[in-house]
Amino acid sequence: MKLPPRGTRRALAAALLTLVTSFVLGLAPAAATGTATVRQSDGHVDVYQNVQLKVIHNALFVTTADGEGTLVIYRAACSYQGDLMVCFVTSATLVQAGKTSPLDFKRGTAYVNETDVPQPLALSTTKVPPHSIVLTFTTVRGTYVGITGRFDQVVK
Amino acid sequence: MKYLCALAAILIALTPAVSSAQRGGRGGGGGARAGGGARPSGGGGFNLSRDTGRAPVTRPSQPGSGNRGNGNIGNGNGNGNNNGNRGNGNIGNGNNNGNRNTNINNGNRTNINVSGNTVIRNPVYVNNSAWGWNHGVAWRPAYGYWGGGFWGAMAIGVTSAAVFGTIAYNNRTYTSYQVQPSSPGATFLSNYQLTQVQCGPTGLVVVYGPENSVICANPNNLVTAGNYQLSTDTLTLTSM
Repeated sequence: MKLPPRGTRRALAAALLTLVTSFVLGLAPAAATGTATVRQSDGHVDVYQNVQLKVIHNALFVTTADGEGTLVIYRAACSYQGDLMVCFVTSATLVQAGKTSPLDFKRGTAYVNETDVPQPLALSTTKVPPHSIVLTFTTVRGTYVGITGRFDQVVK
Repeated sequence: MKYLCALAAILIALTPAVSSAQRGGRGGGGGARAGGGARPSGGGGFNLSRDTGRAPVTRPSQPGSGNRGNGNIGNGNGNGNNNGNRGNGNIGNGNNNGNRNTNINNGNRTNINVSGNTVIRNPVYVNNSAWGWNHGVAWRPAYGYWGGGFWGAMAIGVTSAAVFGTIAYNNRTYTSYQVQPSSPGATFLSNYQLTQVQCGPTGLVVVYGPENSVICANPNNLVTAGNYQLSTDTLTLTSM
């Protein structure tokens, strides 16, 4: 059997490679891009990249990239400041290691941008990206939790 | 053939990365430990184990409040509603407007408006649709904030710097605080062109809001002096 010329074979292989790569990557879901920062009262900081952010009804589910921990955060008193929805965080629960444990929650605020364009925070130069959230809360013992990122799923 | 081998090798190399991304990428997703300290709980997930363990915060009873709900005081919409009876004092009886209202309290479950109250409809959201002022999203009070957060992010027990006078009513003293910009309360004040002032003097517009909150404002051409209940769904005022 006679093979096609070398240039043709290279082009064919490149095209095939591109096709297969696109197919494989296309099967993968969009990677979660959220970031969670936990700063302990003693200054120790843990930064969690690629956390998954899901809003299911009135709760925000934040899951670590390893899938082993989920924070469930509840909100209330949601009101709009322009097109930006501002909510007070009312409680947070840690689902991890087979246990569901309410955090010793103190208080927090969530800024939710459900629009397609960035929205500025009041009295700030910070903007919340489209379909994203900026959330912070503190616990009684002084731990600070900050969460930012685009929603991976919203169920209303 | 060698191209096929190369392609297979690339596919094999790609597959774990993709599945890792689907699981969340354990290898790269555990989080950068900026502080470098050991995880107290070990394993993956969030380092928040030291922030759990206390009993869930239960909402304390509010003495004298008696379910002072949103907008159900004496305005005829309290029937069959467990909310709306502000304590046992039954606002509307013996009020500052000369007993124009008579509320019949039936076991703190029924609030019947016999003589009717004056309702001042919101001058901006004239169609009176529920939550029209909030893009149609229902506003619910958040525990731990003065007025449930309606007047801004003012935590209960806030410093005295933001105190805006007090109101005595039914043997109880209500402390008023400064309404925060961009809050639902600020929207309410703007709608009625009201300017908040310190509570205390007579001749003011006294507005009772959610969660035992009260604010005061100077009267204007839209709202005359007196006591009012604020309905948070429509931002309407009902005289008491």
